[in-house]
Amino acid sequence: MREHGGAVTPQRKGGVLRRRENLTGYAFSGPAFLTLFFVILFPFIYVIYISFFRKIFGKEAVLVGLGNYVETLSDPLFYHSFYITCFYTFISVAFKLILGLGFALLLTQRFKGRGFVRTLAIIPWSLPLFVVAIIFWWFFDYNLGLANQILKRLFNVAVPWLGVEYAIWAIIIANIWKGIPFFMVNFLGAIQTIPKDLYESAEMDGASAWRRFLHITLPGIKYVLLIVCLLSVIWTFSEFDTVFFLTRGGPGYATFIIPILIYYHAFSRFDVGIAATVSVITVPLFLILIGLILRALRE
Amino acid sequence: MLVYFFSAIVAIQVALPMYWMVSTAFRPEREIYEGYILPQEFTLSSMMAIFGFGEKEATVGGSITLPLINSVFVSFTVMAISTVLGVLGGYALARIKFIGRDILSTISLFTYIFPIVVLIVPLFLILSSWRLTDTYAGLILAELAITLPYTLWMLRGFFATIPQEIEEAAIVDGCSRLGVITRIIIPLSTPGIAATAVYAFILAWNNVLFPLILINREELQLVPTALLLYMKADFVPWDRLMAACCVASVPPAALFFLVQRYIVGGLTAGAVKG
Repeated sequence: MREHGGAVTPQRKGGVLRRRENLTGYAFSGPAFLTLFFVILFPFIYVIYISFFRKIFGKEAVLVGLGNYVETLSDPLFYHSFYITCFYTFISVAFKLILGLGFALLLTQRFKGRGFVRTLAIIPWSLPLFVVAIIFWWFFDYNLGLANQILKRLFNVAVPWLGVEYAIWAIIIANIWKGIPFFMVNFLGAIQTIPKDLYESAEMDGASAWRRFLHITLPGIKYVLLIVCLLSVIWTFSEFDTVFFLTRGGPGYATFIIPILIYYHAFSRFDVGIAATVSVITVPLFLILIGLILRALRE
Repeated sequence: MLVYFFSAIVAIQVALPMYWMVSTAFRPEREIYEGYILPQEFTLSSMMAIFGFGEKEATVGGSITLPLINSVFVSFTVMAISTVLGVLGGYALARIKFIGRDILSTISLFTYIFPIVVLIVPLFLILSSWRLTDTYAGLILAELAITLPYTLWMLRGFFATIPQEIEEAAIVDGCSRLGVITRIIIPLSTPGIAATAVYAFILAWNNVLFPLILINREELQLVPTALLLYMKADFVPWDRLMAACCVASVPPAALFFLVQRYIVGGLTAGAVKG
């Protein structure tokens, strides 16, 4: 009896311990994830739910099935908005990638004053987006902004930066300016993990700087590069602040990117159903990109 | 030599917009409208005006003092809540083996990357049905959607690097899990926790969407929405707007440089929203 009990007790104890461990886990992570449930998961389900209703602020919701989707997908503004968002995202991310990589390669060289240049280069990251947008609003002012004052003095031309044609480029420039350090710092970190002797032996074999970059640096930072680009695509695509403070989506609809479209439907037209529908339509894009990031992170 | 040429390009592209903000904030208005690139005269009158001192008017938005205090209060509260919940949750994710841990870890990373802008409509509706619009309780709750995934994911990463043996020894000696956190985990990762908390403060400070959609009452405005009022003037007071931009940048920029070597550590430890 005693021996039998002795054999069983440790096992039971193990079960109790495991259950205790589970309970502690839930108790500790519970408050955080309960909060996340209320502010993210529940809204996430709710936005899908409202997208099936015709709902104006302050009025009763009417079930319309896929009506909002039909309306959104036949609205030229939605396609325009989607197109310029993709355009601005693609150009911005491409430049941030190239310049961020360039800056990182510069800062891996040994030279006097490198620390100073590095500090200077990450300043834009430290500023709030809304401040960056306001600075560029003033920087690109047609009559008094620094950009045109310099252009006027050097080439005697003035560019209507915030006019219909160029406004999207003003947004892109502000976005690139702010975003380069994020790429640069992550690339710098990744390059530092590449073993130095790889470069040394390549140099001894007579490989040119370009070949060393192509065959050692690039493969060495492959995953970081991929993840940083994917993150940047998501965050650039969904970035609200710069456009809201710099052009408000205008002039006309020239910079009416998707986040502005959602805000406009919900808080200018008070058409919550359509705003929710636009949100829901863009979600799969984000889900796919996040899925890719999670997979890349596992590598 | 080539490195200095490229360094100069890096420096100039960063410096131009920065120079434009700072120089505009500290020069007389007359100079701005006469189109000087280089400053001729230094003045603090715009800086004083936005705090309600001196002869110049603060501009339509009024003094920036109250929005500053409000922003500090809201960001600080958001930071405190997301750090406490983040330490507890991050510890559980890093150390306690419970069913569903991996899913919750993925959720914390997932919600961190996920763009909150697609949730502004339901968040607004939910918070207004709970009568939490135009209150800081609602604003703080909404901002947790941004900061909490961040603190969870970062702290999980920091805690995972602490050697497990120390903890196991303490548990064998009869220390509770909560005791392990306060006596071992927190002292051993103070810099990491502090840096994460500071960055959560920055995230809250920089947030525009939630004060914009949730707060209407003027006395509850935060810095970004106060600046929007400055911008709405028929005649933009550039000097004071730029002075206010300088003031709005100092807290997040100073804090950022204080903690940047901890938070830009790498992607596996948790990427930082840029």
